Amino acid sequence: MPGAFDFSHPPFDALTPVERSELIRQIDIEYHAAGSTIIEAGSPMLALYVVMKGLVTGGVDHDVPIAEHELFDGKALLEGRCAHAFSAREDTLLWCIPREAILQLSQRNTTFAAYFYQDVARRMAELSPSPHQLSQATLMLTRVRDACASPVFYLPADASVLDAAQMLQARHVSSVLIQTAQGCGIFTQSDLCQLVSQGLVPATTRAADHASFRLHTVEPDATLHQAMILMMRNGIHRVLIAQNGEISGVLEQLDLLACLANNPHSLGVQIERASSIDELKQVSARFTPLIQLLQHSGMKVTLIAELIGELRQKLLAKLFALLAPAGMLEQVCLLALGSEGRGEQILRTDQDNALIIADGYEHPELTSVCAQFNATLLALGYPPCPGQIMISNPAWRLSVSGFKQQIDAWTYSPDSEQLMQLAIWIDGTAVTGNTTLLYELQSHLKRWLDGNTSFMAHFARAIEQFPSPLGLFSRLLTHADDHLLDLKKGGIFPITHGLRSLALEAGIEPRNSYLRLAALSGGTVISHSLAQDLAETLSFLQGLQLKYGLQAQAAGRQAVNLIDPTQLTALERELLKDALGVVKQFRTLLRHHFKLDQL
Amino acid sequence: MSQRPIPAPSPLSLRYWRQRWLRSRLLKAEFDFLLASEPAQEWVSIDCETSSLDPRNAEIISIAAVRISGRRIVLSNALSLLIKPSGVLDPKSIPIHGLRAQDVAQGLAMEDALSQLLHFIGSRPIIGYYLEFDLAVINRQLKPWLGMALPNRAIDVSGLYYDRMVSAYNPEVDLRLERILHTLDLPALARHDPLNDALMAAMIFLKLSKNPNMT
Repeated sequence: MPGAFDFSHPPFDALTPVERSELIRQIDIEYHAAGSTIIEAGSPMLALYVVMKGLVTGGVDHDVPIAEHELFDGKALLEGRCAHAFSAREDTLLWCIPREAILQLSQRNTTFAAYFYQDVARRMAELSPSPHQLSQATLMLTRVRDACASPVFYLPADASVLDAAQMLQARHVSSVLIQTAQGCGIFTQSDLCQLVSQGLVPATTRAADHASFRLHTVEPDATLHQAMILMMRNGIHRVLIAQNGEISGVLEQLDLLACLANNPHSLGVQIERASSIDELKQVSARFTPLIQLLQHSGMKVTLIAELIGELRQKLLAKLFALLAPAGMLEQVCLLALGSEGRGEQILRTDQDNALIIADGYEHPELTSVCAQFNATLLALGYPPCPGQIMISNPAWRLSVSGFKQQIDAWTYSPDSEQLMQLAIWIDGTAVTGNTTLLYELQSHLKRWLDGNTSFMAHFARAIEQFPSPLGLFSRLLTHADDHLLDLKKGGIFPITHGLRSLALEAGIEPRNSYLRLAALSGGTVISHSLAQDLAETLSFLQGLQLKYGLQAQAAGRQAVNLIDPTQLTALERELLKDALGVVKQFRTLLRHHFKLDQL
Repeated sequence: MSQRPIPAPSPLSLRYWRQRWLRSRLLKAEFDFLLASEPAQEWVSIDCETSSLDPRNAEIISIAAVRISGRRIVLSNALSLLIKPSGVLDPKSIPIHGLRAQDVAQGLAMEDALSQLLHFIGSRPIIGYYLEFDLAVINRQLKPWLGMALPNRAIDVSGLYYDRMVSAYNPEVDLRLERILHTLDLPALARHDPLNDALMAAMIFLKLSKNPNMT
């Protein structure tokens, strides 16, 4: 048979060789001149079309491009009827696969079938490219030097077991090294346990007599896997890290475990224990590897965001607590704003923070504490906010009554910049300090909104700020220009702002988009199925943002929201089209709900 | 595009008398359908691979045909036949079609293959690229057996293309298949697979005959 049909594109790549040869016997080819209609709206859909050459457009507004290797129309095929017309934008050759053939293959091949699921949410959930479950494997290839090893402590040759026990206790370690004329020996908790159980008196027993002088070492460049094998082979709980005879640390089984689990929990504990800014810097540096690991292991982006959001708020809280003089925390409230406040920011982004000060509270160091706070964050790799939304800026460091005035100003004569500031403020979450200060301001805003319902339309209007990128997308698909697609403006912002507006209107408390969505789902505006579509769409877009953000960071670039659709995988492109379709649907709904046309 | 069936020729037309004459020559009555009127909007694109490049002695070793119905190429119901040649393969032709003596030994007898081909073509007009050569080889085999050459109308896509492209400013038209495909922005499939060749001829035909935008 002619080998021209390309099975390397989804969903056909999911077919087995037998299924492929079955399919290829049923394919026809159609030719349509530019400008001609391929399928009339409302006509029966008897075949699935795959573009062999040319460009087709279709969809409600006839603006969804279908380029080479792409197909149309899965939904219509299932329904057997085509709701929208499709026509040839360029001279087009199409592969036609009879409907029956697709339906039969779908019954046997579930991956293939998933492609044709009717609802976008299910399609995205099934098809979202999930990275391989490599976490364990890659972890084991982590170098010993990158693991979090314990420091070494030495005792002289004549030290007693009691001295050793006291050192173990004081240093929170499980082993010490004893320096003797014969070389170094290791004395461990289990040695202590053993000799005590034998009835020996710790104060009068030399630790060196019970230490082990056969030391097992690994080099810093060895992998964790090698270290683990060494422990298993010798039945030991720790190995020394040494290079050229110089011992630099102890790698405990527990450290290995902590590394394997690489649990965000241990990072959280480290933040809480940190007693200096330098320690915070060390912890902060471990965020990116952790994010990479979580992303790589296929964890869903919403869960990553939740974990990282939590950790980052802890970090901010700790940093402020370290800088603030005694008594200040009770009088102020530190807020994380914008996406950080919603707990949806995964990669480091611009600082967005504010400080509420109790009315009447003054402290001579307040200004310098705030300046240091922002400067330290900068040193930790958080770029300053271009809009100066930072506590070092007096406009975002106000008393409760100051913020009340500010809220009144934002809402009094709304221009687009003030509305955006209000939007960022609304997503604010108290990170540390006296949270009642925030509650007071929230109820102030709520009281005002209850009396000014017409304000909501102005607030929601920002969803119209950036045009839908579908058009841009089509050019990219067909001409591979160096145009870039802005995930945030084109997809994430319309969803988050739409949800923010609806949540504000309905008086829904949570800041997180998914929680807002859960609260709105099934209500008067958002049906359950649209809520599902939106949740999957948002997490798909955030997943892309994370994946390509990490790639940009790995290449030494600042993670931005611009992606080049040509670098996406074919499947990601397909899903992105679905996603932008959902965004468009949501926009239309918001436009209608807030009566944006009447403004 | 008209969907009316083409009416049977009237006794006053030359075509009527040609059909009558051909019918009288037909040795096998069951192939009478070849002389029926052309169905509307249907064509057959064909291509042969032969044992040599000389039409006077070349033998067909494989043949493919695909029907065109309206603007659809009915690839799902294509004909693709391998034929056992009576003589030996010209070694020079083997690298072109890639079929060795042992490959074609599995093929059909010439008469079976021709019979299948005639049934597939029916009274449809025949499409091909440099069709003259293929028809000459087929007709040389067909005449002694059927009593006549293929009576169907023949449409050579290189001729269609020439007519479309030639002008006073452009008297020399490059008629190589690659060139034609490139100019018409059609996909080039692997050459010398007869089905691919028939398919490409069919695509060229559709693009040249079904495109109102081309001048």
